[in-house]
Amino acid sequence: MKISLRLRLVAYGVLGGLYLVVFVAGTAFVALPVLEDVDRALAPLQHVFREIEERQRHVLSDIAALDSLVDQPGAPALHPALSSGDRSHRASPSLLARYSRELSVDAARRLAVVEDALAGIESAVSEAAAIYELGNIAGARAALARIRDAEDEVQKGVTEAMVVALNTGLAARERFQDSVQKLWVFASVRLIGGLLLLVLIAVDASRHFLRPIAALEAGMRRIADGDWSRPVAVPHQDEFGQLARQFNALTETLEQRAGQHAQLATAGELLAGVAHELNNPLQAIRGIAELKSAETGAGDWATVLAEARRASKVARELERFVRPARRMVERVALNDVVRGALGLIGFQYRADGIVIEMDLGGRLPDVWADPHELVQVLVNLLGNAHAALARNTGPRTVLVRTWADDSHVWCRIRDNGPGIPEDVRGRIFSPFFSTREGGVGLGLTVSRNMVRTAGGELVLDPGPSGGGGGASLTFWLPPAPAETVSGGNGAAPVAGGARPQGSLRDRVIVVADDEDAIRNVLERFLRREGSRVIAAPGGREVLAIIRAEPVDAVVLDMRMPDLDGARVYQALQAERADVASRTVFLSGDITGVAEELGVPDHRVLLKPIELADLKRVLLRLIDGA
Amino acid sequence: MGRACRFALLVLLASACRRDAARARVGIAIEPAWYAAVRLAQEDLGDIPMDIVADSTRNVQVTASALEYATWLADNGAAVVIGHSGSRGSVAASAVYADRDVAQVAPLATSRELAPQVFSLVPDDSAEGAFIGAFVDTALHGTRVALLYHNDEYGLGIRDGVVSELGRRKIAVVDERFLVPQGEVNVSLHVEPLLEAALRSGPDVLVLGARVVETRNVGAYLRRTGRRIPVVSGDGAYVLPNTLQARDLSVMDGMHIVRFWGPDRDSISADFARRFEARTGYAPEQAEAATYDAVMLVGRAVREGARTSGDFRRFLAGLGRERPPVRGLLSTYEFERGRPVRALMEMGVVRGGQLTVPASR
Repeated sequence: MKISLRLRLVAYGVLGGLYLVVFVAGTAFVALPVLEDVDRALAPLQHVFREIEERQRHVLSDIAALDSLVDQPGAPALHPALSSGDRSHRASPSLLARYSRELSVDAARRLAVVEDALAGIESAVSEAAAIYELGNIAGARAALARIRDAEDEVQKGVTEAMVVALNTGLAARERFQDSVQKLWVFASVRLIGGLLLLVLIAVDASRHFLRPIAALEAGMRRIADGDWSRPVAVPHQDEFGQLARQFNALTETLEQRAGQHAQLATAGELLAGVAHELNNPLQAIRGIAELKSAETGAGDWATVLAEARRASKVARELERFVRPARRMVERVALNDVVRGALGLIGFQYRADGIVIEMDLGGRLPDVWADPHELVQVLVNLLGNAHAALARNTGPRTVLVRTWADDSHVWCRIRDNGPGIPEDVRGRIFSPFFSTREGGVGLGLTVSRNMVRTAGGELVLDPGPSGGGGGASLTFWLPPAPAETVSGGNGAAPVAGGARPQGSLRDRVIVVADDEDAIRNVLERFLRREGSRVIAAPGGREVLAIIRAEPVDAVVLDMRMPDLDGARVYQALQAERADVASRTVFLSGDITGVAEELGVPDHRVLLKPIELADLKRVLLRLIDGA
Repeated sequence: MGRACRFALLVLLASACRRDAARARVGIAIEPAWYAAVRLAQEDLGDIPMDIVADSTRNVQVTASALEYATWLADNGAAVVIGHSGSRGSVAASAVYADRDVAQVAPLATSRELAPQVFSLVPDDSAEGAFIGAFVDTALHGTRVALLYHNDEYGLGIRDGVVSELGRRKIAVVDERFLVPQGEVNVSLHVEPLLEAALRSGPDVLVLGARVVETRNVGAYLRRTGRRIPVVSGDGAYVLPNTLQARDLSVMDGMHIVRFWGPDRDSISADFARRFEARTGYAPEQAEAATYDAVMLVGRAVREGARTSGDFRRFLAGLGRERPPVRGLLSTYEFERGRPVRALMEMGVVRGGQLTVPASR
């Protein structure tokens, strides 16, 4: 039977209260009647004997008074009270009428006898007094003698009555003692009962409160330790049972989401790995295309170069998206971020024939944020818009607009899809809420958190709820403090700048890369620049060359099989610090190589590199520019 | 539904029949002399399911034996008891009846000590005492009153009522003397010295709370000594043994006695007296009349289905309320706190050995 915890607690309270009532009331019910019984048995006897004693005392006093008079010479006058049969001592006519209900029949009978006898003596005293008044002293004496005899009978009656009273008292005492015994038993039973009740309540409370709490606690610890396999047991159908079921459901959802997330992460990693691996072939392609287009001018090679550059950018952005570096907040041009995101997701739109309309504001203030996070936000928003339009028929358009006002830099993504129904508008930023089948439900949550971290806010614009009105989301960010306004058209300041000035003619430059194609391209480029190039396929060869002859600079790939770039640099620093200071590093990883090596950022070029960038950096290092 | 109704009706009828089939057990605790009235009442009631429980050999007046007899009646299943004869016995026995749940109808008990759940057919002694006191004042114009009374419930009750009324009327009580009480008393008293001593106080009226023997003795003494003093007595002086001698009140001629009934009261009373005398050979007095009324009331209750003590109490308490009052010899009965609301008290005077009520009443 389902019993709610509230009902259970109420039951505990009621049981405890009932126990108390029963204990107190029971004790009272057992004790009070006993006390009343004893009082009833003894009190009337007490009153009766007191009154009989009083009457007897008066009668004896009257007799004594009369006695003394008859013995006195001259027959003194009677006291008026004696002569008139003063009844002042008779407070009430009949003890029997007042107490007979409280006495046993035997006691009442004996009392009646005593009372009758006393009344008779009082009447006899009255007669004796009358005889005395009439002057018949002898008659009075005779009457007094008869009274004394009668009085003995009264005394006997009183004594008998007292025996009865004593027996009554003894019987009452025995009953009292029996009842005290019963009371002890009653109290003991109730106490034991109370203890049992406490134990039962404790056991029940332990089963229905403590154990479920402990089970939930253990379940949470298991989740924290990564064990999703064992649900919390649901032994009862009460509130804890419901809580356990909810907890298990939440765990299942989290597990599914985590699985999906893991799958996505794995896919992302795979993708990032592919993107990374594309760096070297793209380097070769770009390098050859750059050389050839420099030789032949515009034409096919220029096209190849442009496309190779585009492919490089996509690969880099993709890698950065999947493997964000540690958060690095910097001055960011929002329009560049928009373009970067479009670069990543634009192909989906093209493939599905969805038009992206761009309305990017000119001369937007930079914002202060992690560019990779902003790219992620825009990719999320554009991805949602794409998904919303996926099943639409008719013209499908997504508008991307940026603008700025006095206090904020704005970005809006609006689609002409089915829109967001009114009943879900309030939940779209909730974790794990998704309207897409198979959706993780974290995109907008994470995006909003990223925007907020950058000091801004992401909101769903008010608009028609569903029915084809489209959805519009807008985020704003505060502008970065001071500095120049970016038009948003410049390249990322990795190694950008004007066309390098100076010459590498007659410079001895070692090119170290285990990839033949890349080594060849770099060698051809530098030779074209007039340098004497010494190619090294591996790190050991670099060191051997450096030890053998003077070198002006080294172009060093970081990933080489025998001795990687970092170890080569370490050796250079030890043996030829001058050469080490003129080493340019080539890396396919976007993580902090420069920081790792302890060199300025400009000495690390990310593959696939621009050959002009390489020349610029070499000139800077060799000439100290 | 029809079957259920028929079944319910059958059960009701069966229970009613069973109730009627049971007989009421009525205890009698009166003087042996009054049994003639019981028998006459039984004849007048006809065949009703009433069984009489009685032991006429027991003394119902003396307290100790009254208690034992009351216990005996209760043990023998009496649902209602008519008795006891006088106040003291009735008061004593009422404790047993209350404890054993037996209804009680006391025909002639005037004591105030009687509990309200006991139905008495006469007023209490406070009312009687006040009646006597008023008579002393208005009829006898007494100014100095001497009291002789039994030292028991009856005598003391009359005394208290008279003294209270006289006090209200500013009439002096110059002397009081105890007479021997009723009960187990191992003294015997003579009325003469008490009376003589009382008369020495110079009263102009003598009030007696005495029974018939003492009243006779007072009357005889006054005649013997030639004393002429108005004497007024309570109803106890008119509770007469059923002997011709006892019913001859000549020695009390001129005395005023409170009576609750007389055969000359009305036609019903006259008819009762005639039938009683035809049966017994002597005229009934108020004790027989009260006993007759008590049996008739109880019999009427039995006829209307009373079987338990509660039934009898409800019947009697309901007279004048749920059911019409019942006309009896002493009164038309309806009760208030156990006393008849319309009880008649008359001040009779003994003339020619008979207690009569003057025509001016």
